[in-house]
Amino acid sequence: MTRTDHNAQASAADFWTWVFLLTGLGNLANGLWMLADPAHWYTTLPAAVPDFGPLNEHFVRDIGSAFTMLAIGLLWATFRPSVRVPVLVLVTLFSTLHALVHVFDTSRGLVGPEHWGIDFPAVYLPTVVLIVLTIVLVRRTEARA
Amino acid sequence: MTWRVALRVVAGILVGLGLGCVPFLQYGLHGHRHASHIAHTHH
Repeated sequence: MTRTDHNAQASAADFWTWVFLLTGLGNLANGLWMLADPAHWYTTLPAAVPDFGPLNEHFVRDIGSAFTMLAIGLLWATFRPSVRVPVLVLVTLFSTLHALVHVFDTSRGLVGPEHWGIDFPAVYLPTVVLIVLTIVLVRRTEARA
Repeated sequence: MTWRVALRVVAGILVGLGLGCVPFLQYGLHGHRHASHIAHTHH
């Protein structure tokens, strides 16, 4: 296989192009929202964020920086298939660590048990999906190498 | 475009929306009610 083959062009007919594009745009919107208006994000995001503690605008912007960085990586990988594996691995690692922080804080009682359900659609389920996608993409890439 | 390609595109869009837009979809479904709840309980 040549280097040109390995760096195949992104295609609108490709499953992975849409996954990276839409996941990247979602993370970008969330990250820019956190950077632009931390207080609005803190009170408006339907994830009961105030349960975890009082608003700290600086820390919300710190996390917004991380989400924006992940979004840039995902959008880069949308149009550059050769970097999809490392970008997806890093995004999945972030999501997994983020989910473990939620498990830790819910387990130790910082937030109530209702957070198992509140955090499921936006934290736990996406992490499981990302882990599965990463395994599939790594195996597929190795099979083609 | 064959039906297989169309299926791949639709699957990619659904997974991408699920991963990237869940918080915003949640907000669209019941965000205003939740924001109102937070305003009542934390202020």
